[in-house]
Amino acid sequence: MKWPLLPKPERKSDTPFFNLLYLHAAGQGGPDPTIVWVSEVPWDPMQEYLKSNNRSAPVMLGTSHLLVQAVGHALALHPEFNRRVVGRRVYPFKEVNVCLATRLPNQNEVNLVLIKDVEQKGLPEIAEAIWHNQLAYRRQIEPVIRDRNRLRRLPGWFFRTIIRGFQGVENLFPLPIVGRIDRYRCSPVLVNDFSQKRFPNMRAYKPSRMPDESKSLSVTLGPREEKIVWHDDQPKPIQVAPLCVRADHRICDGFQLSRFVSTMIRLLGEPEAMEFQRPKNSSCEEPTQAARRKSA
Amino acid sequence: MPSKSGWAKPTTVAPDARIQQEKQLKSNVRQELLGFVQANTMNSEAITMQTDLIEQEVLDSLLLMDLVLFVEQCWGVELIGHDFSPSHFRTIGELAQLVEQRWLKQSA
Repeated sequence: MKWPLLPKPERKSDTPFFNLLYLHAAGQGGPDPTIVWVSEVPWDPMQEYLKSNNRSAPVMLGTSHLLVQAVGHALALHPEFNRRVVGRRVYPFKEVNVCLATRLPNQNEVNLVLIKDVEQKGLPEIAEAIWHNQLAYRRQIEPVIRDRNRLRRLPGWFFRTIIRGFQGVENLFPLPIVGRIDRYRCSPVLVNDFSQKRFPNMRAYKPSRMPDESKSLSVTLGPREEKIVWHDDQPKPIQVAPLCVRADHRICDGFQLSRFVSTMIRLLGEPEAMEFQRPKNSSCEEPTQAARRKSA
Repeated sequence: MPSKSGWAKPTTVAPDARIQQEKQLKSNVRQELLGFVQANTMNSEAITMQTDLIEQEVLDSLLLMDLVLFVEQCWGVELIGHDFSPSHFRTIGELAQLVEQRWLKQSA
């Protein structure tokens, strides 16, 4: 049994007023606390970095691995996003964990891969963990498949009761992680990589939905597209990929989200910087808040 | 039992027959892998046996998993963690070489 959240929630006095407003007013019939920021990331620096690393890396590195690493670093740099809402309170996570959604061929299923302490891992380590999980999942040796099949065999009414009961309790109390299937609650973010050529252009992804209680952040990279920019008074084609970040207004505001998106763009534009800027301390609390608590 | 590609794992065969079988396997693996990659990518005419799939940005995570499963289904060769090295997936020729080596090792 593991407790993913810090024991104490954020103080009411530390919560910005408008976040507090959403925290107490959002819900069925209340205001929608979803904020969506869609931007673009330069495609070529990412690919150049991956190509040069793939010349010597022991494992195949891909865009999704880089995206996971960038999200982990951005969460470490902006700990205000590494939190979740429980009831009417905001709890920080203990670790910087990232969940990646993957889809396997020949299987009509989405697989979630949880990468722990992402900001302390190098790109090959992240890639290896993801490949390993995908292979295990495909070969049906991943234990979570058995859990899913067990749940699938339950009668509809019983399955519904379990899900609703669990969600009800989870939204009221900070629960520990007890099984394999609920370990994804360790992460505040779900990452989707739709950057492959075969996908159609993307303008936004899940833009207006009540945010999931545990996944307060969703980061999605869309397929690359060509864009003409003016450079030295000349039109120049460049490749960009849309980056869609959906956040929860109960834990952040538009300004904070803009900083988070800027960090993501910077990290994906200069991926080599992540190798040198690995934070050693993965504290989930903002330094200001921690300092305030100490002094209190 | 014959696999999808029509290749059964050899039992005991005469040395000449085995050499013949290996030759046939080699051309078969290369052609089938090429056909699979061409069928699953855009701009398929540009892809040849020597195309650098990584430099040309042909190989993404979905295609890589597709390839691993295709190899598994066709020749019964299971690729494991350290096989996911870029050196094995750079060209179709290199991947075919890996598959042939594994297939022969399994059948030996």
